[in-house]
Amino acid sequence: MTAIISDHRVYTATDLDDALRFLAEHREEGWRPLAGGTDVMVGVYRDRSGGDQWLNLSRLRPQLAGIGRDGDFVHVGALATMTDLRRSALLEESCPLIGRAAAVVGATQVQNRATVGGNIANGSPAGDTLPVWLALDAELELASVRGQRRIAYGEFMTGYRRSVREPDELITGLRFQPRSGSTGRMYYRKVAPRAAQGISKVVFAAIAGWNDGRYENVRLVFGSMGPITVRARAAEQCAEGEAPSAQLGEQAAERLAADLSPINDARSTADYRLRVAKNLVREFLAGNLG
Amino acid sequence: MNQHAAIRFTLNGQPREIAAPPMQRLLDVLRQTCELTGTKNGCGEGDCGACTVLIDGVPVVSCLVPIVQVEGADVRTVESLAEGDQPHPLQAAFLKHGGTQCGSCAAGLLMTACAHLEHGGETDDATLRAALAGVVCRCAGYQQVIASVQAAARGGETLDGNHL
Amino acid sequence: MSTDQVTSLTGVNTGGALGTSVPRREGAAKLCGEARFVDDLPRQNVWLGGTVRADVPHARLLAIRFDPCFDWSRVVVVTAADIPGENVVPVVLRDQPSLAESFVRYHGEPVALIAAADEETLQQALDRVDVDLSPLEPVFDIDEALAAKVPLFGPENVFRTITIRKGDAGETLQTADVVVEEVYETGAQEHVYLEPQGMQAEPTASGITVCGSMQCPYYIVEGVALLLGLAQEQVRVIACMTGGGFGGKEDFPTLIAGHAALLAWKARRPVRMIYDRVEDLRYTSKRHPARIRHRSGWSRAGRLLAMQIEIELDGGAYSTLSPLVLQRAAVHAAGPYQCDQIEINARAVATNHPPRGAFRGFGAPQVHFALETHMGSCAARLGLDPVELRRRNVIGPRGTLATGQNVGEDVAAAEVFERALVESGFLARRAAYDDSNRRALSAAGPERFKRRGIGLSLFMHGTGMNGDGEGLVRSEVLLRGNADGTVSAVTCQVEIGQGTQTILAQLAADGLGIPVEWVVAEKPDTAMARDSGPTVASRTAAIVGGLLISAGRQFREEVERRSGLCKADPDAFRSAIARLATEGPLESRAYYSRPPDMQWDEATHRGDGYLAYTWSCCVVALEVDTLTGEVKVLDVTAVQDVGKVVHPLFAAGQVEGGVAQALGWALMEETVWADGLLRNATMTDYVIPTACDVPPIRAVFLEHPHPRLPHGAKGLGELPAEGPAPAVANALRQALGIHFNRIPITPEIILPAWEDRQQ
Repeated sequence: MTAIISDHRVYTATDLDDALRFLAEHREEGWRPLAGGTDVMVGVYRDRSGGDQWLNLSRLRPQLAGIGRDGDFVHVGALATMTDLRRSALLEESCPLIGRAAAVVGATQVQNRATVGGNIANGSPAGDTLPVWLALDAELELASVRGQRRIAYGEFMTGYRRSVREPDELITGLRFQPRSGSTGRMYYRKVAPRAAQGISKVVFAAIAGWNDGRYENVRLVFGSMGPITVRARAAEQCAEGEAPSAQLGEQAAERLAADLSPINDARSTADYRLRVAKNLVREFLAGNLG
Repeated sequence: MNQHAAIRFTLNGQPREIAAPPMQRLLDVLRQTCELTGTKNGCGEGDCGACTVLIDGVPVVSCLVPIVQVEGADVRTVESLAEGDQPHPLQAAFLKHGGTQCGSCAAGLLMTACAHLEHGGETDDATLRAALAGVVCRCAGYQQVIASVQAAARGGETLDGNHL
Repeated sequence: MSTDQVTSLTGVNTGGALGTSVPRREGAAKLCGEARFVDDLPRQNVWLGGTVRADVPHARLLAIRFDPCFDWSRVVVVTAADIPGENVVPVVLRDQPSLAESFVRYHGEPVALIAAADEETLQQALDRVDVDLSPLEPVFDIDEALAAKVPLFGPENVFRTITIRKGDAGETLQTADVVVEEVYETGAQEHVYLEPQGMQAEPTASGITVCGSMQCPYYIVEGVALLLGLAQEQVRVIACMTGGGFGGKEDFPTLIAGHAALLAWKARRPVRMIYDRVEDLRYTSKRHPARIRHRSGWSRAGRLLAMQIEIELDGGAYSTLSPLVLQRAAVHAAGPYQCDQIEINARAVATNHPPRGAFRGFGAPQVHFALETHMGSCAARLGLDPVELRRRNVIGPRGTLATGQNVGEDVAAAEVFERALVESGFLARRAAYDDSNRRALSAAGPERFKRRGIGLSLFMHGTGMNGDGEGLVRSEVLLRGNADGTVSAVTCQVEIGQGTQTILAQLAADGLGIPVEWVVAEKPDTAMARDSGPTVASRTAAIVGGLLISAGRQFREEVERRSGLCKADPDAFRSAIARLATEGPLESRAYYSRPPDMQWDEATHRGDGYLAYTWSCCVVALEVDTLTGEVKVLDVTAVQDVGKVVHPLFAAGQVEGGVAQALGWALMEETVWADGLLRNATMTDYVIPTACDVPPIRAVFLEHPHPRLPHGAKGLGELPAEGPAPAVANALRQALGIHFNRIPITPEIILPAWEDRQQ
């Protein structure tokens, strides 16, 4: 199938203000932001999906690609690429799971283009970095000519590839409070059909605080286990305030079905996905992983 | 047909100005407009890596890059590697150590390896396999590819000019 | 032999070119981006072709409707009604139409063709065609097809039935101490040659020229001539640089070449058809899925007394090469073991899947998976070490295969087996893995979840085409002296990555006794080369190469006779060639003819199934993560006797590539079908191994030449892809204590099996 590419229109914004003004002026026309293009281009060429009007953000990179400290938070610009995430010493120190997740998004070629904001906006259930942001309680920044707002990443997605982003809003970045290995336990695992360059069958990010030998603020987050990235809240509650043990692992694993809704598709089976999820949660909480 | 604004970029060291639909793939511009067909179209969705080129020194899959985003960029393709009759060390090593068989993934592997070595990447087996994982090869099973890149990194790979 | 033994790339190699790694002929062009594949040819004045396809798997074709709002004068349209000749894709049985006329038998079957000046016009036109179909009940399952309630092919929906009998297996099975019976299944596999299918056709004053991506130029000559109603002499076929084949460009290109030719013929201009990857994955052929039942009878001491084997291949909607794939499967099914009572019943079955076709190994990988996995089960049932079980039954120099063929003195089954045990450290590693698996639960960290295993397989592959196939093709090669003293080797063997141009130059040079650099391997062009046979069946080096050696020897004698030179130094010899070539044609031809000692009865399948056999043992070590069922292959050792290694570097490359492809088939390459359509038809979802998935591979070569081949080389291309799958299954048996009898063995199968076993 060939895209009818001569029908496509692109507006290249000169800076963030220009981009927001353009989105406001053309609010009803269905223009979509174009960041690294690694999802957009597949849609355009293979599926002829996603519309044919694009707001090109490539000139916003000087404004939106930074990674830095912001008070008690670490801030990541929306146009930071997966390669930027992998290479950031600050992120490695603030939460090593971020670099690990970025390193398994496609391969180098895609990591050099794919962006944090694009990954979030695309909202694929299989997005590899998304469980980490959710496990970190990250806050998203959305900007428009009407101003900036912050929302918890956990409130951003409302359903399969649907979010609370308004048509005139742009994701400009996110922030989170650093978590280091010494103050807790963390683990990231992507299960894919091959060792590199695979679409996730299961993605798992776990972050748990550690207080006097007991878990606190437990986050057990899964991708590819439902229409959106999801926290296994029942299992989290089960672990809250408990010490690691095989028994705890078993109990929590049994409660996963309450929050996860895996499906059979061309990539895997619901049964397999749930088995893996149970094993990972069980062994994480038992203290055998991470 | 719409009128298209010109896109200016540097291609293999030469300034180029090209009028193309803004969402046209860099891959198509290279192969059709610029008639540089060394870059191959293997899958069209960024999974095979055959169309890898370097933009500003880093490898990208040119099938996923709209030409509008190439404005002002420095693009290098496989055609830039050899200098006249002098092969790039990677080309010499690939020829000597079996790094290419059918040739469809060669440009992707060469450009990916080129960026890896230019950025001072490690050349142990595991690092190279990870670095090259974005280019799939169906012929060679990768071992001779890895050996080729390692030989190029070691240096001293020379060929008689008439081999290129 | 190791790949380190690469000879100098510079300077003239005076003799001994055979067995040295001379530079790849077209390597520099490929590495500089200058090699021209079909879609790299200049596009000026070339129209692009596309295919209108049926979107149901089985239907009556009622009408093709063209939207009157579209200006159809902008494009050229071809339907079955426009075919000037015979509407057929000739392979073996001639049951497949080039374009569907009244029935559609698979989802995606071509119904009409369109050519346009540019891609967007073409797409707009394709979007404006509707195909009216009246759906019929489809059949996707082998048993349903065999029930023959839905007629697809002949009275029984069977393309071919083959029976091979040696002794009386049925009777022996009744008295054997132990009988083991199991069913094995293998899935379809896509070739994923990195260059998709593509072809370009251009009408000429005298006929038509077709060039493109292919393995078999003369198949296309036949196909296009029939389709256009031309004499074969009017069809010229030129193979472009071809980006991988693996069998996928054996039979399928005849279809797409016919389509390009039909469009070009009607448009009276060059037309190019290039499949995009999705189209290629969905609609081109795949490796035949197979179901194989083994019933084997054993003495308590582990002597193989009788084998009863049933083979069923899902051939898809049209027969293509299924009758021949089935034949190779049947002849290889009893493997490299001595057994005097064998009964093999094989059927290729019609279904509404897209037609299956050739794929590296051509039916043999399926039967080797079944047998070598079965050997593991039999060892378990007999309480014997599988190593010892194979030792007791491996075929030796006086042995006879299932067809009664005496394997000759070159048989190396036992030798490759013993060597593989040594090279891989099999026994020690097996013991170590048993030990670490036992202790895993007391380990800390990820080790706790890891289980390891090592497994092997023993197998063989017949050289060249089945039975008397080579005798029927009667391949012909030509050596021609050039005015500069070089010699052209003229064949229609295609460079698809395996190194044909280089290897044929080496072999010709060996026969000629001149430096390899002085041989020009001409590109395949049917206007220049007579039919030297298809580029398939591991036959290029073995058969065509053998002919070039013979032609080379004749050529040398001719030059010596006419010039009066004898054992001249190379330069004098070259001068003589140059002088004689200037005076008039200086040529030497060689033709294949069946060796006088070779007997084959196609009706009974008795006799020499193949000219010769190569032998191999493959050892796979792997590690399973029992939390996820993911398998990491640790390393592979492949020991093979190929008669003679022509080019060590390429030979190792064939083994490494074949092993990688087979590991994919065994572990990850799953075709997911829904209503006859491949659901995972992208390279995102049909995954093949990356550099991180393929382990270190050790290739070890033995050289036991076969006297029927002048240089001894018995072929190599397919063999390496035939052993890894059963070795994987056998390694998993050790790692997990579970016997898997179907591939691909994905984590979705491994994990539940493992967890159920822990209950």
